[in-house]
Amino acid sequence: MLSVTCPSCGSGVAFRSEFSSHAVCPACNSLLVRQGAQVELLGKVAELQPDGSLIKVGTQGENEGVPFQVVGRIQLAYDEGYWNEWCLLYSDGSQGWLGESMGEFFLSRAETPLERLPGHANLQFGQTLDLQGQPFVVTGKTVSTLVSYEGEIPFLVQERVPFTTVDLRSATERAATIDYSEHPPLLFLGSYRSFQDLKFVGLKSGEEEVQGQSATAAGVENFNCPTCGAPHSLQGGVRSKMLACEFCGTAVDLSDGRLRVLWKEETSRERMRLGVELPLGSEANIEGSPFKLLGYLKKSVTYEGIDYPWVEYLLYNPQLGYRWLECSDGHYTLMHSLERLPTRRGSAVDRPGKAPLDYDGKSYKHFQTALAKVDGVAGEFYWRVKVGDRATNHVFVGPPHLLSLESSEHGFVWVRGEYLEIERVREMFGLSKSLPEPQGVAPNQPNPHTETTSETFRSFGLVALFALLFLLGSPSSWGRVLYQTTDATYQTFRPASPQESPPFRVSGPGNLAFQFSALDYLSQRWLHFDVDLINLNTGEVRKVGRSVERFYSQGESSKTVRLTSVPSGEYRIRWNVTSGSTLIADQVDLTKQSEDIRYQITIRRGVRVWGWFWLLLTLLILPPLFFAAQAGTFETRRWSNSDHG
Amino acid sequence: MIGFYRFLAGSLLVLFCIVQWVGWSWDVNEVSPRPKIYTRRVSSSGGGRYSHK
Repeated sequence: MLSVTCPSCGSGVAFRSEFSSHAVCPACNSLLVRQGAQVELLGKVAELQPDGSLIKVGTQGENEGVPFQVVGRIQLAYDEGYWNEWCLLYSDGSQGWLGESMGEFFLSRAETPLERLPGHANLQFGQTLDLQGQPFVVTGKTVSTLVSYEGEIPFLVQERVPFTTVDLRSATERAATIDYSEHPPLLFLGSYRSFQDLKFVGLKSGEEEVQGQSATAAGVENFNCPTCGAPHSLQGGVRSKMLACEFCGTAVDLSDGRLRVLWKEETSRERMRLGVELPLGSEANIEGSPFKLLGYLKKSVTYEGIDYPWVEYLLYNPQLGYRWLECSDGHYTLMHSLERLPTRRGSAVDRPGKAPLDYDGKSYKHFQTALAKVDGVAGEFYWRVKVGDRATNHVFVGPPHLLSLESSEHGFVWVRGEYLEIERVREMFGLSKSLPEPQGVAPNQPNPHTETTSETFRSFGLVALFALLFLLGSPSSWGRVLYQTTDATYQTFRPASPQESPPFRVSGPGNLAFQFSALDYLSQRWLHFDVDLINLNTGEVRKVGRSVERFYSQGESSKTVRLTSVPSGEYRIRWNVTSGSTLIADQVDLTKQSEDIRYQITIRRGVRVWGWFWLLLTLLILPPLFFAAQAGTFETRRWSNSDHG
Repeated sequence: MIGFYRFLAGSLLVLFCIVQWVGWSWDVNEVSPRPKIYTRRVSSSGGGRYSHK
């Protein structure tokens, strides 16, 4: 670190970074340039403008575990307000930049471009540009002018000469800025970070912050509408650029203390409040941080001559920046801008198109592309919005989220929204009143039947699997043959006598299945089995009978009868077989030629009854199918409102 | 709804296992001879290969 004495006032001025060529004396605002160990006075710098930043020279932070200290800043002015480039000195001695604008933080370092950078006039929104071997998409162009410097800086920016910067984002956290203040242009590569990620220490105290904000619009915090006299209290700090009076539709310029009227729309508070449920100035708790409701826009799209309106509320937290809460047909979606671009087939999206997109590993389907217009404005805004402003919205949905690209002549902004149930909105705002019930189906509304459908299908699958395993893996006695006739033959037109089996043991669970089979081909003939099942332990007899037949190639040569509740024990069977070629059984007639028909009786214990299995599946598949149909109907209603409906 | 379905599915599964274990079946035990005499199938045009018989 080099300490020098200010040639103007004699105060000590520090050069902490070896990269710093210039420094501003904190006592007298003199701009000094370093010449070895000496400094030379270049003149005085202009006053810094209040911009609501909580960062100051001396603030410390952390970038991926590497501590840094803020050693200086370049303050720039652009259409929407002020923008700071904070000069960082890392603990390893390297130097970097922290761009701060509208609550967004871009950490970057200067890099030497591998290829010649194109002129800014040749870069259009949505255009892809390869930088250092990685594709980036142009998302913004800003024309800025120098306001002033503070602390140490490595270079000067030309005064009073507007210059262009081009912002580019990628599918990863990497982002880039091309600074055309010099020739050749400078390339800064880095990533967007949240306020919390940077782990700041030594931010402006509450008092300093208040002083900064109290300078808003030249010290104006409360004023009366120049048209209707309605009282207004500014909530958005110095970042607010305009306020539209909710009572009379007068828009006031907040960029200075003159409170100039920007425009006036003939309206009334009643008309403005129509469909607006959340009051201006109310506070919302979003993930533990307080956000003020600064303003709302009433927007609409027109299809076939019919307007479809919605309301967008602007919420603000000095550290976290802005959020949008959209309310359409009573459905709420909380939105914030994306730090990374969505991808399509692995590449950052440059043109929205209609093919599905990916973001954070989730797929989003195109829902609608529409030209939205602003119909009403009330409250504070960080840009000069007016009734009649138009932008094209490209909406992609992946419930409960949506991705929306708003493209206009001013930029190319991707936002991500999350659907909020109205109860959550009420909790967020601490509302005691109820909110109107949502109508219809929102593009990103979670399908309430999806979980029921998937869970019931899952349960169905588990039950089916268990039932199948039970059938296939049940006791070893399952389907075991207890007795089978051997060489049994029926002789047509010959006397037949009942036959008996030897004793056999019935044990184990399940039914007792009798399978009757004709082993020889039956030609125009039936074969009937009459069986007595005799329990040798109790003497109880159960009768079993079944026919097999074949006429004109029809009928079956094997049939099974299953008996229930046959207790374990010793059994034998006695059977008799009759046959015939018509409804009448063969009569004994020794003059007729006899024909031998071989048959078989097989007795099994515990034969699987697949019918129960199929019945179980049939009964249990009905509810999942019903829920799936409901889910399908819901999706049909959702997509009927889309460009694809 | 999911809970009720799981309860229903579990109950039916238990019932299914009991039914299989006990061996309940809907077979009709035909004891008396009831042979079925089939007639030849005749084509819808009223004729067929064997329609002259």
